[in-house]
Amino acid sequence: MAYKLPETPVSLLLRLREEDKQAVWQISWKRFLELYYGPLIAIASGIYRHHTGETTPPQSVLEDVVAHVVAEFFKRNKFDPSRGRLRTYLRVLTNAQVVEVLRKQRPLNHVSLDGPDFHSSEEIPTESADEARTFQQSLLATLIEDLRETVPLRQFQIFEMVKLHEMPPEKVAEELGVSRGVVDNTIYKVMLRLREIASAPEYQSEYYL
Amino acid sequence: MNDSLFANIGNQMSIEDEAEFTRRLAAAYREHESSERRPEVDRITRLIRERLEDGRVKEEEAS
Repeated sequence: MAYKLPETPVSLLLRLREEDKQAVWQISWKRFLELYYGPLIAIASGIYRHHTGETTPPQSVLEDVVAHVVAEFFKRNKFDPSRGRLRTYLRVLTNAQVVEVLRKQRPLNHVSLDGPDFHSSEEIPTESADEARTFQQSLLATLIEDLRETVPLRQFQIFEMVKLHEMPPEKVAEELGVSRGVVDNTIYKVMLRLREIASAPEYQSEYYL
Repeated sequence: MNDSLFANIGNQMSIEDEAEFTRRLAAAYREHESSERRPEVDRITRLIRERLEDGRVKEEEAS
């Protein structure tokens, strides 16, 4: 039987945010926020520090910036995975909003954000180790979500119990009333599928370029 | 993530690499599960809803 390569994280997002399906659209941005909350906060924090000489951003500002970025991401509907990485697009959106927030915070007679005490507002700092770590973690969580949508529920349940909850396979077999062989065989098949999804170009490009 | 680990993901992995990959997956899963319950995520969700609804109202008014 021909195997259809599952949706990638990017195409998953594109598919879910169709605006004519309001309920699905709303679920998609909430899901996106839950998946990418960590890297979005790390990106916003790093960019804020970059533009303010390492000042720690207030939590309320970070939350406001992240909310704006997610809303813009879904409103603009302009992300094209063939033109660049998701993380780069999110960093550009985040930088624009952080600069906007800082401009509003500064008194009118104060020096410009592009003055000598600030980095250029166009200049985006290089990705920090914390950003990279949290983004990769979000990609793995997205990979699990993609897997959930492409394997039978029972297979995912066995995978979840053994690999994600780290339960002993024999205990899973006992709990589900199946043989140990069924558990082992399922894990083997699901891991193959998982690796196939993870080797899709969109995932690979988010890790490497 | 270790580059070679992810680059070779489509091929047969060694027992050590598969264990490391699984460990990272489980950590990401736990992190994702906990983020769903964070109060700051709830606050951001409200802010996004306000922005998106505000944008839709303006679009409707303009059309």
